[in-house]
Amino acid sequence: MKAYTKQLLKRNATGYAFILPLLIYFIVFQLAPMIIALVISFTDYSLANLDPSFVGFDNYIELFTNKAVYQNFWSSLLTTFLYMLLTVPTSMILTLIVSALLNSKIKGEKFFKTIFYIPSVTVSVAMMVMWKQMLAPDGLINQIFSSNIDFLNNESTALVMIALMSVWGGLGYNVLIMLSAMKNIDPSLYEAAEMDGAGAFQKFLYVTVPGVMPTIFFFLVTGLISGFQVGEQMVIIYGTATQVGSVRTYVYEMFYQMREMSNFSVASAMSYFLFAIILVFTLIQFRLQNADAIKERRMLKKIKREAANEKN
Amino acid sequence: MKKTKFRFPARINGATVAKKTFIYVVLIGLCLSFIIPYFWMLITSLRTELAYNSTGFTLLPLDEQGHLSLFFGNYKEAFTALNLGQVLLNTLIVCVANTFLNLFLNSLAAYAFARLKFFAKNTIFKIILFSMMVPGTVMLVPNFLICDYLGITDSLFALILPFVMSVYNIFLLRQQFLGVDKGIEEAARIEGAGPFRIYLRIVLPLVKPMMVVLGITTFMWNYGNYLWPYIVNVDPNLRTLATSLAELTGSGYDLTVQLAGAVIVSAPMIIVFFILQKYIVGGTMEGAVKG
Amino acid sequence: MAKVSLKHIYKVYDGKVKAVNDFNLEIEDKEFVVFVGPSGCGKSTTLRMVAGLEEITAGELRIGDRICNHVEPKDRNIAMVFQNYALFPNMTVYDNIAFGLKMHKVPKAEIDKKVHEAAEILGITEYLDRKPKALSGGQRQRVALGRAIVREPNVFLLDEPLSNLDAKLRARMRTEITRLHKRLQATFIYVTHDQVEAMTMGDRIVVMKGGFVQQIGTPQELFNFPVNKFVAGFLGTPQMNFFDCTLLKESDGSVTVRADGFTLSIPEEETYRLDASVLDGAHKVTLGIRPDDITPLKGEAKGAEIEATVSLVEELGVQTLIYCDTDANSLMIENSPTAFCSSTVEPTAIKAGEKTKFRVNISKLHFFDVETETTLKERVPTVKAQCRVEGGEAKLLGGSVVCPGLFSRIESGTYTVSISPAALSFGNGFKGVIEAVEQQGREYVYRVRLGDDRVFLKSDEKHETGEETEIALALDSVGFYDNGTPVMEPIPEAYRFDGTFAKLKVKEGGKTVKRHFALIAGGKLCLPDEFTQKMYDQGRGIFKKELSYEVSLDDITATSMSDTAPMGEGEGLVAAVEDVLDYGYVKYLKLKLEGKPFCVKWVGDAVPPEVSVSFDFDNVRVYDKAIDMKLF
Repeated sequence: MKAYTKQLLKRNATGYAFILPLLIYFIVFQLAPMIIALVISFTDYSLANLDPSFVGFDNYIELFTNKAVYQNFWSSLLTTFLYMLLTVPTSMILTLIVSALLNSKIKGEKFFKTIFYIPSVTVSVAMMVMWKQMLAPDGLINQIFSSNIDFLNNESTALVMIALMSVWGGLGYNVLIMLSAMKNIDPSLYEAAEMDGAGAFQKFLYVTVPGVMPTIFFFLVTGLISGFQVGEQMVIIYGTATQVGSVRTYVYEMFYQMREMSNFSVASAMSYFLFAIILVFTLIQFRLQNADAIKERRMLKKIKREAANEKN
Repeated sequence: MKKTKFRFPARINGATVAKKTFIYVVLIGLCLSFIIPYFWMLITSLRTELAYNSTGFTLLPLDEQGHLSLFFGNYKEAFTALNLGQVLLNTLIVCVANTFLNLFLNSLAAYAFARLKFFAKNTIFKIILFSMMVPGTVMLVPNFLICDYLGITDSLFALILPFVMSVYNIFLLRQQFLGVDKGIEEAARIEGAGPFRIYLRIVLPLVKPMMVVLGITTFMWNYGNYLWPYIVNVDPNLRTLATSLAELTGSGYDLTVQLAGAVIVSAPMIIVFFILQKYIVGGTMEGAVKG
Repeated sequence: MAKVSLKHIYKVYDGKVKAVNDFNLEIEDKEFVVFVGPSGCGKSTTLRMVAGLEEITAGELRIGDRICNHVEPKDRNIAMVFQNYALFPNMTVYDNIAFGLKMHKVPKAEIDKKVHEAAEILGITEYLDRKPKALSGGQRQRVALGRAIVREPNVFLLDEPLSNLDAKLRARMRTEITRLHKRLQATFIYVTHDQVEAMTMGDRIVVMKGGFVQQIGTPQELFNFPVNKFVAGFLGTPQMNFFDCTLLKESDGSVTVRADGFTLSIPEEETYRLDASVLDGAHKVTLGIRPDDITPLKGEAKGAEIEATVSLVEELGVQTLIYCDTDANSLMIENSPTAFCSSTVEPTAIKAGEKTKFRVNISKLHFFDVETETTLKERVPTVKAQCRVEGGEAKLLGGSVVCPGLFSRIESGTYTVSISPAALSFGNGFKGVIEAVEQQGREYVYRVRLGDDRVFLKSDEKHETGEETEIALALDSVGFYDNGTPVMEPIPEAYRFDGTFAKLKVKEGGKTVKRHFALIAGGKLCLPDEFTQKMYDQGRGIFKKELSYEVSLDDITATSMSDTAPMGEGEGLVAAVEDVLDYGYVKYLKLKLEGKPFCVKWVGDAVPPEVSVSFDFDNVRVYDKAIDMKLF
């Protein structure tokens, strides 16, 4: 064998040796599951039916249409959307305000950032326990306001409370990112605004917010994607079969199907449907992100054309 | 004789003072909303259930007669309820094993993508990057089925193996490797060192900071991981701290005991955070998206 | 009125680092003033203090007669153009320009009109709906200007606006900004590090270095009469040539300049401003000649020739630069004591390697002290003359002055007198002829020949050359020296006393009250309320600071102990009278306070052994001694 080919083979062998664990992992825990899950979603595999047979798109169709068996399917999607509506704007606005406050020249910026970050290092289960007891009928909140509202079991307040928990917990991390973006804004923009007569609020509106727009966009996208997947908190607090309908999100329903109903094929179908939704959103985001770049390219072409015309 | 009063100049503008006070008030108020829950949790875990039900809102460890007293019985109960000995062991095994494997295997792969040349390298990288961006919840059901098929459900392996590779870690480590001065590696190659040796002895030590940060984040993630262990392991002896605590919550124990459990489980990480504060708060900023 | 007045402006960081030192400038309405200097000289900091973006540590800033030290930038009616333009990236050009008007709640229709007007003037109307990132550097520059002019402010501040543009664009924008200034009829304060911009654009230039103002004047003044080596070397391209040399006054009155590689001879006429002490042939002096004042010689030029070998010839089109070295073996282009640059606009066929002769423009020579680097040819110099004292009379300047009280105290003999321009004025005294008149701003500089000497004085009176005139001499401003040792020193205009500020308990008429005092030289002076309030205005730290009180001669009063009004215990400054100086028209007492001598005007014949000294605190200036900063 030629020396060159030998060297080539050896190089490839080394490379693949290094990524072998990754490849094995990928095949076993990424590819295989995805394929199997996809296949199963087309069967009727469940605890009741351990010898599955193909049913085609039946699972999906049943999910969408069968109101008797899957009465929570569409409502769970609604719940998920509602949750996203509660958390994403609130979190964004709160993060902006807190970051702006920390960005004005005050002392103790590090102190505040540390305190806000504590929930991010609190084990999520522990945090749920803490909130669960805080919101209990005899918990902290009720003690302070001398009321007796069972926040978490009350249909109208449950989801709001979980949303609040999520916004509260995410503030530290979000502020960290937003603040570092704010510090990247050219200070002479603030000075120019000051010279033109802008007050503190106007400076925020016209310099700060536009300046961190990419970060805002980032939060929007990640917020939406993780919002779609909300379910873990509910499972911790309520277990997998709660009667409080207003907290049954899409992913919660998925767990319900898997754990309580042992209906693996339906659960798989639900995961894939979720995957499809997230994919669509990611593609839309890609398009929007590159929309700016596309506009710029068009603008530059126009300028070049103008310059060329002028010469003639 | 006239007695004139002399005034020092008002160096501080009235409006600025008001503005700054307002900012501090808001921030400190927000801080309190973060500190009080934890404080309450800690204090309440040191009181008896009776005491808690008898008194109204208080942030002091009072007993049912209103005297200050610390009650450690909740912790004793939580210890047994959580099956702390076994569970702690499980958690440690899982966290340490996963973190170690994670760092090792991910850095191997990252190094390969950064420095080695092999057929279809970039395509493989892109595929893996893309596919592993599939959100975790979508993968839960399929992963469960695989584990079931492999027969590793209800074992600690199920908690360690499925999370051994992480695209986020590979990506960051690859960035770091790309930044290492090639000259060092080339010199080692001329000396006759094989690629694995170069990776292990020469390049890996140079990316220590990032490894430390990723090690911390991975360990913390494993520590708090609840959902997957809950789904895949049913045997009570295989519970981790997180699942054990969740079990505690659903089992009708006294509120004070539950809180004691929560304190036991969450305290270590919070303490570590305060010690390593600057690395974590700083480390996150380095990897943060530039505005 | 858009006048800007900066009085004793200081900027101090952390109580130690002085970024701007004692900046004084009165800017007229509609003037174009340029602050120029190397990086870090304090020019931008000063501009930002005028803008209100930096706090003024000490001093007074007035914009249009209003004290603006603590006024918000937006209320000062000024506009600023930033070095990096600071355009809002997410807004269109229209919105960027309209921003200021929008902030001031101007109605929409008016905003539209004004924005379009500004866009017309700057030629950017077609870009109004573009965003800054779609514009070139020059266009962005104009948008930044548009944003400033649309608010019709009184004063425009420009912070190195052309630094980020390429050379060609810079040249074009220079003329555009100058045209804009004329069109807008507003005051412009312009900061740059480029001396060409300063020279071409400014009505007046302020040259700064290391936080200190070096010189203020018109481009012509600074170019022709630089006050030190830095200003001389900073302005003008190519840079002025510097040589080490010695000066020797010859018997015929001319001065020989001996440098390493050439010798020049200056006619007597050009040397009047030079002090005799540097003309001894041994004193080292720095000679400065601009390249335009060294040109290739055709023919002969005695005493004004330099022969050198050409190292390099640079053709620049209109002008040719010839780099030479008088030392044929070294052939350096710069950084050598024997190398220089010649600039000529005449066509020339000189080539590198050739040995050529150059003519030097003798009337354009500059001389600088080697250590202090200040010019030896001051515009209005202090002149030294010989004086013969005999009896009670002094013979000098072609005339004589009688003052027995004074001259009887010194031995008869010949002395050197030092006459500063401040001692001279038109009036009864010495007769002479005006030899030369120059205009400097609103005043005139005169060279008058008195006897064998020539003196210089500045006055706003107008006189003609050749006029016969009489010059009065204020003896108390003249110094008498015997071979360098002072025999009688001129009385200074003001004195500085070190001291502190304190609030003390004193007994007054049986009661114990708290009063404020200036503690000077072991004594205490009670302070009036206004002065005390001004001290309080400096903040709490004033009680701990080491201060320097500066008092003008006219504000110091001495009274005999018996005449002094009774004061509280321990109050007042008592000084022993050491000497009496009788200048005839005025009498001074020489006192000593803590070892330091100072003089006080005295009226009356009887001179007591001790006097009580008091100050008129209405006019006292206070300095922070530690950082030498004028507080008020």
